[in-house]
Amino acid sequence: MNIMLINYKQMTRIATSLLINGGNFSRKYATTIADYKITWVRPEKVSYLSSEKSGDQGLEIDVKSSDFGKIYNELPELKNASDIVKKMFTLQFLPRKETINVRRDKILELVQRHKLDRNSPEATSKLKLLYFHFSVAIMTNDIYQLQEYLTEYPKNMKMKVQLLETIAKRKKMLKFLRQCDYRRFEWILEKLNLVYKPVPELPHQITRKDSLRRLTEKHCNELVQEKLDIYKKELKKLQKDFYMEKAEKLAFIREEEIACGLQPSVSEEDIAYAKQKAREYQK
Amino acid sequence: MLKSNSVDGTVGVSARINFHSAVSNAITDRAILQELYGSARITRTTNPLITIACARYINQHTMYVREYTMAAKAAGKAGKTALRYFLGTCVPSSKQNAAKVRVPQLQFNDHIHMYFRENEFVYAHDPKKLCKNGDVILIKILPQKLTRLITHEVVEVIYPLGDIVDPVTGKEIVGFNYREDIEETNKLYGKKDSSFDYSKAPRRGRLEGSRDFTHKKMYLKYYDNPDDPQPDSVPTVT
Repeated sequence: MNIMLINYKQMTRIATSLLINGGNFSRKYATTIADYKITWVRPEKVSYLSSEKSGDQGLEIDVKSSDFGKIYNELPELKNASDIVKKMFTLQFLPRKETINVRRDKILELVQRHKLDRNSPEATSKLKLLYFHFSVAIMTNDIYQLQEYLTEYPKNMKMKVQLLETIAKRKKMLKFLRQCDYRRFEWILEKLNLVYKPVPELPHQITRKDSLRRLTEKHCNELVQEKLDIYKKELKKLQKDFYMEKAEKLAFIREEEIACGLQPSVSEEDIAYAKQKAREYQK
Repeated sequence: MLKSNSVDGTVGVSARINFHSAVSNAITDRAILQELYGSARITRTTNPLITIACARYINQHTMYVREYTMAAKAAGKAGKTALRYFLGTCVPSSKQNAAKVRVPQLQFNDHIHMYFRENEFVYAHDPKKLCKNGDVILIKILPQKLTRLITHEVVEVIYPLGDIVDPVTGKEIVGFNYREDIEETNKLYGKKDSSFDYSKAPRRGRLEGSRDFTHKKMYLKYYDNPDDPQPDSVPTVT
């Protein structure tokens, strides 16, 4: 019986305390990001084949399957050959490497200084020093062909790494070229249809916490700007009456000063300007 | 705060930084440099770009130092406050009429007894937009602060990025080669129409915002929102 009584007393105490402090179950004074409706969506991972990754915007180079391979192009023997033999030496029946070589030559033609300019080109002096025979143009061709290959065989990791390395290497070359010769750098971007974006500062990882902080800051700035805009609008509304009043008072001051025999400190232009402003706002 | 080298307003400590990171004897004549800066420490670098840049700085600087010391002395005689000039590199700025300038200084560490390079970032008023990102510019302290941040003023672009001139011969260069020589070899081989021509090339900066995004500070894309495309962001870093 005693136990029941004690239990009953406890229950009533809890119930009364709940009734009194019912509103304070959750700490309402503390707000969370959820209250401000800030949602963070992690940006999607960019595909290594996309143009955003490499900066290539696409080059229109016509290499048909009916073209001859590179070394057979001006062969005298082929001129008198039969159609079947000719067909054997077209890109359609030659290995893929031949197509790549033909395209490389056509891309190189865009930036070549002279006919024999092969490995010097519009690249950098720094890397040329190390006997890098790649140039920006050649690398561009490589990137195109690797992208083409990888769309067909996406599981070839060796090629994927090669593609990423080539992209990074070309970017580095463009960086050097920009420092050595800015106008040529711009020219090559246009010729090869590239977009160059500099590498952002470290860190290069995106974290939830940091992103949320930045988003919150952005949200706060927006709130401040909103309030400022409203206040500015209010002030703009007041300007109509203000200029009317200003014109009247200036005219009064001028009259008084003239009446007292002083040199007027307010010119008639000032009054006309204030009146004009008032008229503008009335419209 | 930035400290000027001497009270009577010569070029600031920043100028001396460039001497510190100076010069190999590959292209510029060491003797000339030592004559100019007998006391300055000249270290060897294998990088010809730095060499050329530094050499040019130094050449320019002797000029500036002379000019401004003379100006400052004249001002000192008249009893006016001396001006202070600094050299710095332009970095991407978020302000519209002001350039953000990185001014390197050598700070002496008492414990190690050595100078260490420290960067100071200042905003320089530039209403005419003289300078672009990467240029080496001369800035001057304003007599009064323009805003809370803008304390300096751009005087002149001394070394524009990407158009390097050899200080010894006064000829334009690319990497190790004179532009003249490159043109000549092209002519000998038979120049192609596709090749780049300096005389026809327009001024720097026409591709800003379309292909070349180096004028802005880029950041990594940190959230996904179709309403906010974040134009200054980079999707990934390779």
